[in-house]
Amino acid sequence: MKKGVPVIEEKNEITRKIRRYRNTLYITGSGISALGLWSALRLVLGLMISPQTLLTPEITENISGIVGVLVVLVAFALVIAPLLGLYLFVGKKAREEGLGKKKNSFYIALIVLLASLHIFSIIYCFMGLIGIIPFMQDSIIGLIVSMIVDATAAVTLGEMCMSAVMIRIYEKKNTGN
Amino acid sequence: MNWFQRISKIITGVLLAIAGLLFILLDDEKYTLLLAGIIIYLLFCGIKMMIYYLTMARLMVGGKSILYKSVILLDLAVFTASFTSLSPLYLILYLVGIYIAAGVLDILRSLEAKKLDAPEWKIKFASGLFSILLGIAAGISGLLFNYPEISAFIYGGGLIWSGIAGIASAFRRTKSVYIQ
Amino acid sequence: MQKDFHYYATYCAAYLAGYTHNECMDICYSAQLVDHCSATLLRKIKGPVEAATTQLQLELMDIRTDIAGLQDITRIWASFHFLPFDLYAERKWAPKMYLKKYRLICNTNSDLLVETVKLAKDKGTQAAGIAMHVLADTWAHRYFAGTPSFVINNTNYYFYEIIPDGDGFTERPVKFIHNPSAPDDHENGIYVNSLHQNSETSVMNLGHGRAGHLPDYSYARYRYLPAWGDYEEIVKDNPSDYMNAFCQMIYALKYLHGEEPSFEKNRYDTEAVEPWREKIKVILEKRQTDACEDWKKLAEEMSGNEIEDFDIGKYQSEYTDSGDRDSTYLGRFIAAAIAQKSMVTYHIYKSGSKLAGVSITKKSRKGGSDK
Repeated sequence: MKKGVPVIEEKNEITRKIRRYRNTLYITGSGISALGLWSALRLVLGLMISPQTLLTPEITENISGIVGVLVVLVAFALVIAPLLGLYLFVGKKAREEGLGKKKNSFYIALIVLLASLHIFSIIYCFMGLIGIIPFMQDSIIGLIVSMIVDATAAVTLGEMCMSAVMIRIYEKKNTGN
Repeated sequence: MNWFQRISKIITGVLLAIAGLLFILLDDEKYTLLLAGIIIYLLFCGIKMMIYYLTMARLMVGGKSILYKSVILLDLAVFTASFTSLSPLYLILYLVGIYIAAGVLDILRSLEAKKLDAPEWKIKFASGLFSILLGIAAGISGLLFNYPEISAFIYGGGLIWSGIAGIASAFRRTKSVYIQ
Repeated sequence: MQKDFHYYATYCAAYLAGYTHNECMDICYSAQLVDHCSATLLRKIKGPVEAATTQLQLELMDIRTDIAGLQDITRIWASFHFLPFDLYAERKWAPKMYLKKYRLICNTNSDLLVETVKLAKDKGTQAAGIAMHVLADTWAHRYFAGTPSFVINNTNYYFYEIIPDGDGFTERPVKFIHNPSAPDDHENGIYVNSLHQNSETSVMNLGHGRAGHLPDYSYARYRYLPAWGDYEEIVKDNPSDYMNAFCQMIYALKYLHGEEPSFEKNRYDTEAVEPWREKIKVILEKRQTDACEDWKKLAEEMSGNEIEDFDIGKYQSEYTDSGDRDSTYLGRFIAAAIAQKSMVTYHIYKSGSKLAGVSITKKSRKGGSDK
């Protein structure tokens, strides 16, 4: 607390910060849901249309016709759908907390998990860019933009996490004052 | 709409109609040309939005939503660019998907106009419905008959129709809610 | 603000400031005319369109939003309805592009307001009426800018109405809809506002469109997050603001009438209002979207004269048939409007912004030119 600043002023400042973090949670919650939906759609379309940018040549050589369709369905069921569910769940909880409704601390752990996945994806794309994963080098611009999208998602999730934590800290401070 | 906007709409309509005609008449290069057009448009929108965020919207309450939209648009542009090596069938399906989405948007806007008792809503609704039906027909003919040329023909016809509808709407009055 | 305040309340303020009944009628007619004097009306009476003090919904529908169109919009709305507070305001890390719009945010007791009132001195009742319209609107429309701007004028889900409940207040989230055929439902907190448009220069983002008509209802109290406010909440108390507007109008009109030596910021004539304060408070707090009847009754009680309803066609034939149009009622109104617009445009231009167009100083019969 600044010296000489009346308690009421500090309380107003804390309230303003809580408002800012709540709005950030609402926006980042919506943003991560949209990013998740778009990423899922992109993955599905990518698998269907240009699997060579996502999978090794050994796998893509053996994919054709009905096998290809099965691969997409299995990938969707085992990987894409659960991931999408995670994004939508985290987004929903963040929006709810942003609107001042029920609070749920479990989703903060999921935020960290998702952020880690995106950071891993950035590293994976970077390895493809520098040639360590050669089959990915067909689409350099695609890799760069994927890294940008992953970075945006990671930063968004980081902001979401920070906002959720700061709201808890400031609310405790507020009740303390 | 003022005279400037009406003339813009007429010019856009004419260009769309010409694009549709070219799409029907040209051979394989039409897919590349069309994709290039869509990519440039998406890139332009994405970069414009990104610049808007960096200069103005970052200072606004809730401005970050503009950033997310720009990132998705840029990613969509690059994703579209990865289609240049595809077979025409998948290309046409992708284009048809965009066409159907545009039709859905048109219908939503027409329902909004209907709420405002604007007379133009019927034309917009018809235009949107036509786009959706056309898109479905183009998609089915491409998938079922594996004959992308039919899809391309239908798509080109759809562009011509959009052009004509745009020219017609230039002569209609638009309505919105303004608070004085 | 609406006709109830611009017409009838201005009459009351003028009467309390010492004007005669006829002078009060001239002043309040001029104040209300600011909300009707559009380019369409001026073309109809073959008057100069640069004197337009408002833009009708039909005109806004057709308006182009390129640079020239935006300048036209800003010239009108910033000069008469959203007088800028601080044309040299600063904001940390804000680029010039943003600052130009940020500096057009309207608020009360600005230097421009002092200039507006002083400009009307010894210029007749029409100029006084225009000045009172501008003054009153600085209270109702504060925190919004008279230029289309998404980043300044937007509002979001954080919008709550504060309703008196016994000795205290309760809060209720405001629900905004975009259906103009449905009237505002103040019982259930459902109000019409303009459509959400991401485009920076959409006319949907002009003025207080995104807050609907709430700023114009004297009973309304609400809190919200303005787009420019960096998450600082604004609590708008219209009954209190409107009372201040009324008291300030009396003070300003006394200055224009010659009873006050100068016009200064933050001064309000609360003494003149005292005998009528309780009655005015009742009108301001009554939950109704149109308080014309109540204000009219009060005005007639105050002056003992019948107040004729506002008739937009009252002075039109005098203007169109006259050989010396400048000396007619509308002629003097037009001159005062051009002077006000020129003054505000000049100051905006001088601050380094071309949002309201380019201003050159030119000697003329009517004052500075804004072209």
